[in-house]
Amino acid sequence: MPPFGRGAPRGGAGGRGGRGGFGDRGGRGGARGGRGGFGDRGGRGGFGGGRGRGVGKPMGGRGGGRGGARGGRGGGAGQRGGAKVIVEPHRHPGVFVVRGGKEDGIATRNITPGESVYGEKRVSVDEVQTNEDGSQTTTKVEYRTWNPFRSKLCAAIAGGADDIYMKPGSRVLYLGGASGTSVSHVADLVGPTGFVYAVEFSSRSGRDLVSMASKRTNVVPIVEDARQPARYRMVVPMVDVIFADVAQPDQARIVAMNANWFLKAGGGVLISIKANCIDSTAPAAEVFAAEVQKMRADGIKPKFQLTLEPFERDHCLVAGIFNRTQKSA
Amino acid sequence: MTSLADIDLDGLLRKAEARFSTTSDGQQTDNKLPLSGSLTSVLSRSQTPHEAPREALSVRQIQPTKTPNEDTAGKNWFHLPKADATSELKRDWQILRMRNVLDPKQQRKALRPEIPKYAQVGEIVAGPTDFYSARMTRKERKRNLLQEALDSRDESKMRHKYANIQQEKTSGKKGSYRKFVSHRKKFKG
Repeated sequence: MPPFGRGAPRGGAGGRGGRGGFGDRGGRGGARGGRGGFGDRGGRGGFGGGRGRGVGKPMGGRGGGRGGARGGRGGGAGQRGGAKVIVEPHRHPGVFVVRGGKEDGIATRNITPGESVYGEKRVSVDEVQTNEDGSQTTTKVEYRTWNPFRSKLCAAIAGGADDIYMKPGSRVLYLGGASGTSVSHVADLVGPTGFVYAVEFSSRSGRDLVSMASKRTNVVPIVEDARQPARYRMVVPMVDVIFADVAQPDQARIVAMNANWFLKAGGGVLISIKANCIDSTAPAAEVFAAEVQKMRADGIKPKFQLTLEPFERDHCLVAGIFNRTQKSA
Repeated sequence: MTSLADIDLDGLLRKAEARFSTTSDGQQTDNKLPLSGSLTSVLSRSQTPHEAPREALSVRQIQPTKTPNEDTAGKNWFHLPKADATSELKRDWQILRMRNVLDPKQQRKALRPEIPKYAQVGEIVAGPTDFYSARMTRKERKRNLLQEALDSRDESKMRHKYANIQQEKTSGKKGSYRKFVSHRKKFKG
């Protein structure tokens, strides 16, 4: 099985004509689905044959579900159920590497053992502990494989991000939570002592997000517009990290506003930028540079920029540190 | 401050008392000698606030700094336990390191030679909605990575390679000449 379940042909990389290809998330549905919309997470791919064109949402991609449930992908880290793997810690706290089979993968420790959120593969481990009286207790530990093709944060980790600023116990404000697939992994990462505040405007994705959060006590779903942080100010305390994946033209402003409201001084900011959503005519590199400039003006000191290239097209992840004293009005 | 002064005062008084007792009797009798009125009054006054027996002053013992518990990877990795270096795990790691040979079509990063310090061996669990091709049959399931590799190894490619190399290497050499000659003899006889 190909790496990270890249099983289905992904619409020609160059050809915008056929199925969505790189730009959309829906189009990855495999041979069965129609094409997804052109918006970021526009249409739903991977359903039966009949469902063609996912109509682009007016919000430019905030609407719509994240692709099909798991239409036609190979699944997981290219592993088949029953295969043995070795789990070891990743460089980043809370993240694990699953080695085995054809391809190594990234995983997080499942805080709801026995359940997978979006059909991802799990790794089950029997932890044997010897008690004081010599008897042995076996506890089942589970890890969920994290697909970098479906999560930009995972793509950044797989691409070698210097720092993700979050670790077990952190409080994370996640802007653009969508259906909560990535959010569930962030919730795993921060563990039971941490918190994830997931903001998603679309009520349709928000429904999935809420149902995911109902099983995870450390996820607070907020179905609100990230442009109006005042609306959820009563729910969100001071946070350590802001992760933004909103794909809006005014993304930098949204992040800066939320940082001013909720982010602690010296807190980390991770922004996934999709060049097409900001300015579809300018070259990607220029768009990224302009966004970084905007961040700098808002008191976020950029630390590193990383292309998400093999996983997403014309995307980059910019990480920075928020400095409250430099804040502009 | 006051307590320190009290201690000093106390010590001085006791010394003085000892001196008194030696000078008056020529031999030391601790506290049994009747003291002069003024001294007893001072002593009793100083001792009334401290009913409990005084502890001897001592130098603070330096506690050895706590070494971090190395049995697990720590709370940042949810206490992933240390890998027990069994021969099974070592062999599995060896197989993982040689994946590039087993499957040359796929390119991967080289792994370090020694087994990871903290690791667990797990088993992939397929989702309930996964297609049957996403899970192994019961016969395909094996106890460890080594067995899996042995079982799923595709030998045909290696065999072809070996045969080709052998053909190339042995043509025109002694072996092929002998074969040729034997064939000739067969035709004659």
